[in-house]
Amino acid sequence: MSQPENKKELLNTWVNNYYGDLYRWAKFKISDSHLAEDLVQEVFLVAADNIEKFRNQSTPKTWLFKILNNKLVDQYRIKTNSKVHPMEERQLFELTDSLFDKNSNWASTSQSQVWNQNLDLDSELEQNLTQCMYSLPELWKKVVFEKYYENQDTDKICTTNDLSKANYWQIMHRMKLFLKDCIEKMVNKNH
Amino acid sequence: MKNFLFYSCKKATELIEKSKVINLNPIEKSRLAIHVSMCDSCRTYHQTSDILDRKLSEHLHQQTETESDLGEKKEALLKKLKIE
Repeated sequence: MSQPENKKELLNTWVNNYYGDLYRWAKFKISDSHLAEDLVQEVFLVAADNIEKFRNQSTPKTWLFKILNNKLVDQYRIKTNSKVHPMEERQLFELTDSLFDKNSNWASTSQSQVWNQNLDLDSELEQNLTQCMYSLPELWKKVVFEKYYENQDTDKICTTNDLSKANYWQIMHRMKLFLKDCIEKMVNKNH
Repeated sequence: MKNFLFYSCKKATELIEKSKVINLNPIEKSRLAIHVSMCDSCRTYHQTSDILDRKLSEHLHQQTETESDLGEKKEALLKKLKIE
């Protein structure tokens, strides 16, 4: 791996094989295509400089994703003045518990118009959805990405993330309760 | 609703999500149907859940780049890597 030609070839293969996956993940996480492109570029520059350190202890894909995820964390720190932060799983369980009363029935039965498909509130819904997604815990974002973007089947998502099927539908349940509540609150605020 | 025969709203909404992952057994199915038939809020939750499913996949796919866009980005990167 010390020969420059070999290194070039290796990088070439990595770019061809993993660029798309890295780019899509970065874009999903930060919702900014230019920034995503810059970050993935940096990932490969870091990889090029440190290629001697990569000794096939992990797969190249895992290694590159690790570099990218570090970059995404840095990016997140830079943007910490943003009002929204990813939450801990525990916080999200508490928050969604609070939507129910002591008998576990809905605490509030008022119905938000934002879900009324006859009203044309789609653009508002989508804008708020993007914002609310930021708050999801990292693992949940990953599950959302794999399910809705990559269309992976449930078994695969459960295996890669070390979840039981019950964990999985509980995450879906809490995620939707949270998104429903978050979107409704944002819509109320804007009206 | 406190009756053991009936699900709470929290349980009912969880079962709505469960039913999207695996088939509910006949008892779960009928108890959920009874609950939903009597509970407007859970019926709305079911609709909201379907809307969110649809919006999430649309939303994520809107962000997709075409393969040729990606190809251009790859080429630019490869050029850059050779200069370094």
